[in-house]
Amino acid sequence: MRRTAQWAALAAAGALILTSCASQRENDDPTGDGTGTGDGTGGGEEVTFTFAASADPVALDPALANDGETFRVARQMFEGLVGTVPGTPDPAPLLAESWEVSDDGLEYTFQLVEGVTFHDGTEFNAEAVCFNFERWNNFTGLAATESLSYYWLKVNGGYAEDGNGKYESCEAPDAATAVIHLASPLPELVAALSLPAFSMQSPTALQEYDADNVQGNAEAPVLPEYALGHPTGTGPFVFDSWSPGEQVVLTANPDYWGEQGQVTRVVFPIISDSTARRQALEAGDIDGYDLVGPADVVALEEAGYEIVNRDAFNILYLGMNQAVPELADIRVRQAIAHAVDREALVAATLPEGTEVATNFVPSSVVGYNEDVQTYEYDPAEAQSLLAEAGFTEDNPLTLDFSYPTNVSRPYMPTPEQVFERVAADLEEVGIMVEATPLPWSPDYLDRIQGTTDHGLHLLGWTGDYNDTYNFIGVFFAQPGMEWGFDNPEIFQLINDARVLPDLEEQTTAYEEANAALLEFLPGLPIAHPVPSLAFREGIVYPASPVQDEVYNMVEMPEE
Amino acid sequence: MNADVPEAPIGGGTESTPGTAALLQVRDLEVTFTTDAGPTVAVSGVSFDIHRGQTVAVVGESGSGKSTIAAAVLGLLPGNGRVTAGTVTLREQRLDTMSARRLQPLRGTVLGLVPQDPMTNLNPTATIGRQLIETLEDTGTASGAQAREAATELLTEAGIGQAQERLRAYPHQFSGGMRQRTLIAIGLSASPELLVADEPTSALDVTVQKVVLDRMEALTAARGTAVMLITHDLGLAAERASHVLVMYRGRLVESGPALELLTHPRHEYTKRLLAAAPSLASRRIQIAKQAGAEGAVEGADLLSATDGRDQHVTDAGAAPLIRVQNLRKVFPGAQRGLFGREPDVVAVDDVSFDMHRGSTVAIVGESGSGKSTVARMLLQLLEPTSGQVLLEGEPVQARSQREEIAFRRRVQPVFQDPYSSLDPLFTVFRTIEEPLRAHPFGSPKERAARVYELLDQVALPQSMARRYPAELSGGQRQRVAIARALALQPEIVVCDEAVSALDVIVQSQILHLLADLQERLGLTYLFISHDLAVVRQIADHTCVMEQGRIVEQGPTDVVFDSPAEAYTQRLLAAIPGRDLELAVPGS
Amino acid sequence: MTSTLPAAEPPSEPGAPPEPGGADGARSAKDSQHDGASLWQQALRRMRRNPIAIVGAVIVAAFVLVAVLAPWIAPYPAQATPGRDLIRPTLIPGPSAEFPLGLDRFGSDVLSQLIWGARASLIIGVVSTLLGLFGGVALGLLAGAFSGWVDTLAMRLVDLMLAIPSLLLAVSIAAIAGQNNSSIIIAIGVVQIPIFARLLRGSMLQQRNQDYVLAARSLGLTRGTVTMSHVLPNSLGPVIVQATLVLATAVIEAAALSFLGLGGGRPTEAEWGRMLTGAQAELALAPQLAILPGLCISITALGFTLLGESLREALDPRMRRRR
Repeated sequence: MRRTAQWAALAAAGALILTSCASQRENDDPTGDGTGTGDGTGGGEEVTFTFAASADPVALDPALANDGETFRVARQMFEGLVGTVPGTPDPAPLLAESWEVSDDGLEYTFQLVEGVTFHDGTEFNAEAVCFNFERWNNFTGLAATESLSYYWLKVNGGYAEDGNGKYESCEAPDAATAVIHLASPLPELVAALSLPAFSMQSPTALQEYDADNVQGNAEAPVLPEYALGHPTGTGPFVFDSWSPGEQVVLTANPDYWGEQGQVTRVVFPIISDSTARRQALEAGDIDGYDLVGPADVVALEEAGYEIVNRDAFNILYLGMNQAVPELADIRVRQAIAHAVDREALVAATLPEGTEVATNFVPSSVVGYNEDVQTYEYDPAEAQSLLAEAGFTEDNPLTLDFSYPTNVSRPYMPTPEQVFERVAADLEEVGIMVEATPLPWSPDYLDRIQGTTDHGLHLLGWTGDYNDTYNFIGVFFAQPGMEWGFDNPEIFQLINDARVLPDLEEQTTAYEEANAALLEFLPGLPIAHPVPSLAFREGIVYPASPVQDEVYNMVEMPEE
Repeated sequence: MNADVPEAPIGGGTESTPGTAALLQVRDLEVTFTTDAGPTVAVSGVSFDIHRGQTVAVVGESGSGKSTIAAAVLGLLPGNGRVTAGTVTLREQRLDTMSARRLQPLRGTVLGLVPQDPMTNLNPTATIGRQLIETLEDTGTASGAQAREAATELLTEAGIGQAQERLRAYPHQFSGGMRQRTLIAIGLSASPELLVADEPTSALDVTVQKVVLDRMEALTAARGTAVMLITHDLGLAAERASHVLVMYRGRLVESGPALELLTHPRHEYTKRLLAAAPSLASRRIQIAKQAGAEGAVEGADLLSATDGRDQHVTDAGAAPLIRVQNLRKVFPGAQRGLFGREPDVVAVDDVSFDMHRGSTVAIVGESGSGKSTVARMLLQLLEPTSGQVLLEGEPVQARSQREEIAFRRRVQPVFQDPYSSLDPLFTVFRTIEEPLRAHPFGSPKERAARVYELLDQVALPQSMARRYPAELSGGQRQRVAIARALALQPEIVVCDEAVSALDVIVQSQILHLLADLQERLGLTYLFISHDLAVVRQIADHTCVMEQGRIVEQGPTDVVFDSPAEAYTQRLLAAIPGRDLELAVPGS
Repeated sequence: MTSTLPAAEPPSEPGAPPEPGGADGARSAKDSQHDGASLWQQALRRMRRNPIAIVGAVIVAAFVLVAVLAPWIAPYPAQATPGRDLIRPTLIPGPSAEFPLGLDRFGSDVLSQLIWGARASLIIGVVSTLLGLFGGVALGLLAGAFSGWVDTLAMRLVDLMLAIPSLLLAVSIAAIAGQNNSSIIIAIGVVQIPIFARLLRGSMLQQRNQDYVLAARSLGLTRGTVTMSHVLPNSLGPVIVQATLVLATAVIEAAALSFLGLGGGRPTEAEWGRMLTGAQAELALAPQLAILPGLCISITALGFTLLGESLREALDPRMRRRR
């Protein structure tokens, strides 16, 4: 998932001062049960599942968004052609029962599930599929920008109006068959279609509520009526209401084509502060929340709460900007890699179960290479490399080191602590560190992605679907300010691998690219931290590495 | 006379009414204050009686303990004060051991109080009527409509006309005298048997003082209320009370029937007090004049430069040192609302007088008469609206800085309040040296010599030089202020109420100092005062001001002996002790 | 005509100050032992007798001592993380022989951090207060010394500054000047300027009407001399008191601004406010991490407040007269 903008540090701090908004949660549970859950046996009883969101969704239309909170809500209401195998990042049939890819990789034929209708009664069929593909490809104006239809732009490469896209056309030979034609191969397409951004939406509703009409300007887009109040999909839950800053409410879709599940009502109260979320759980105001701080895990577990860990599908790395002359020297980068004791760092600051990273992709991703250069912790080696590069005690290497403040990301629950460990390790080998703490958004991201003078930094990524390009392509397939290097060989390797239609060939090519990357060492992969969720006792939660978690699969406790 | 004072309890007039128990009996009273410096005995061994219907005055200077006695009687000692010995008995009930709760109902009904300062003792946010009615209801004297009626009656009795309407007025709409009369009305509202009046008129002008005291006397006489009158003015005490108690440093040094005490003082302190009291001095001058004993007048009482006066009389045609011509000062009215203004205030209107070298010119008047404004204009601290001040024939207005400095060397002020006229952060030495530095005067050594010379001149020991004002008494401070004024050897000294804030004995000492300095240094004084008695002692020429105008001026004797204006006559009549029969010194 | 010098006043004039009672007479005798005590010396003497002032002074002295001696008394250097390998995400070791107050989440010794934090608080507090003091005195002096448009202009400026919420102003300054301790210092200092300016002006206006100022003018002193040597020194009392009280606020505000993340620098930087911020994530795990710096902030602020209040009391003009 894209690194999403978070509340500014100030706003987060401000929220501390205010009391948790959880207490304002509307409780119109007819059973009068304080936790908002029924008896869990169904039988017409209302069963509410309350899950704290850390922010409002950006839009109710996932095609126009790319952040986790929007997708969390969208996954309940919408379904794509492709889903994921539960508990893995791998693609699985959903609205498409099966698919075939032509040998040249340019034609995709999807067999659709039959008898599915959208929430508004519109029938789901091949024409609806084509309507959606055409809609994405024909976005114009503000809708056709990175800040809104980010994933279509990234996966397809462009829109109809600019002609850069790989998508060519869609045809519907019969109601249950949709065929997508591409101009050039896009092997990751199937995996990418599991993203909520590519959910199937009701053509009737899209047209009725003017879904593509984004007004305003780039800084402050004004979303159309559809994205603000009429999301219409095929999923197990139907949109009920959204009070910005307070909560989003969904109710069960009585006509859902799949398994209905126990939960009849979903409430997402908006609680931006992580401490407030924990307190809301402890107070019984919510059933669960995401991004549990590592320090809270034990306390919650001891108090009888369920801690659910997602399999790590992310990467936390130490970026080294080669636009800074000292870091352009490979010996300096190697010295830094040898100086950092990643084992100790993981043990001291990251959640239990976290693995030290060797690649820029987690091991579950196709293309992960076991045999890359690993840079063992070796301070002596680091010092001699520094000496070789001309840095000694009298002429120490001084580096700017940026880290974000007051933020918790799935791949980086405690940035300050990680920073402090790395900085201390660097100082141990004689590198002077100048700390630059910045609030996450926009200051930190602006500095890392928009300036050239930053030195070291901490950042990471959570994968969207099982694809190597989804990790390294974003970082290393083209020159960027974050890394400050221009290495055509590396770019070439990655971009070539991306379009190889044969999975095996592609895997080999990606392995090669990963090995080359680790030799070039644009940054140091640190770890794949395990993200944790916490729930009320007895709840069973379908955790997914790519957060494909739909609440009809949630099991509520017997009461 | 005999200097020995019997230490035995002095019954204030008990002998005259044997058999009847006194209303208030105070026996061997000792009051101790706990201060940072440890316990301090403020009053000790004080015994006296007050009988029903009797007025007893307690006289003394500040710090003599007279107000402490009043507070002890009322049970209103401040938190750090306690009765440590003796008894206070009222109607055979011990007050000193009585709990506050049992004392409370006695206040108002048995014990009444008229406080000192009418400005701060009324609640500015409540109407006069409410405050009166509240007292009446709290003391259970009357309630409801009855209370309102009683309040109207009380106010009328206190000499405030249109009482019905005035009940609705707020304190700030009353003059000082009206407020004090209101306080007397409040004090008497529940018809107490004993009224304690603590300096009830010291904040008031002399004519108002007379009216207020007359009214109080009438009211208490009608009710048969006994009065304990606390005052620093022996003349006033003698005039108003049948018995006088003289306090000195926490002890009762003398007591007795008022007249007897005045004519045959036994204690040394009483004698000094008598000699210093300006009202009495004024009276003595009057008596002496009536007796035709011209020589007797030139005793300690008359301080004016006799020689200068003679000269003044003879050299009437000589050019005056200072001539004040048609001075006028208008203060613009205060802003009212967005555009409106209060009417302009004419503080000084067409004032003219001459000052001859070596003489003393006094300006007397009540507060608000504009006398201080005249002084400030003469000092060039205020710009006159029109008119001018001529110094040796030369106008002094609108001068260059250099000329202004030259002017300042010749004309210096001494202000009223010895507490605020000295910079609290400057030592005595620095205070007196400052003018010498400002107008370069010799080397540091020479300046120091001059400072010590000045200290000598004002009779302060040289050791005082290192002290700060806070460590000096009022009289000492005023001496420092005089030394500072004299540092530049001015010709003219403007004394703006220079002795008004001082106790009588100190006041008399400062007046003597001023007279002596005048004689030795040939100074010319402009003496601003509200106290006619003081003026009579020191001035050669007197101007009487009323509402910004000089209503009468002339040689002091003429003004005092045969006042032409009704206003001057009223002022003179209001001096306490006017009709007392006094022993004329030397006769 | 009297020619004799008035007989010297009675050995000691009956105490001139108002009643109650002979207290004054006794006191002036005592005070004569302290010949030549200035107003400030007297205030000091009064404070020495005031237990509240002593408590305040002891706290402040202890705080200053700890801050100054930090390099010698702190067990570990500033920002060091000696216990970093003892830390686990779910475990923050408490007090031990090696770390008397335990560790924080970075592995720093809490005792050392608190000691170094005192130093940071002292520097921020003192420097920002001085900044506010000098700025405010300059502005207040301008307004108090000149009436008319200079005064009006200066006071409108003050009103403008007062109208902006101080925290907002501080955050804006930090936004412009960047995230570091000097922005915090500037922010806190600037916020205090209008308060000092107003106080000084008011005090000067009051002093300007005192007779001693008129007397000084009558001596022919220039306006500037009168202002600088009489009005200003006598007007500084309330300003100095305010400065002491501002020190208390500055310690708290510095902590607040650090808490909001305006401090900058390393996460291990020893600053009480920052220690508090860091502690919230581990509130359940290690509450002492929040309690200890919180206590330090409160006690230090209390110390300065007590000292300031008793100084105010000691300088009170009403007390001056009565002594």
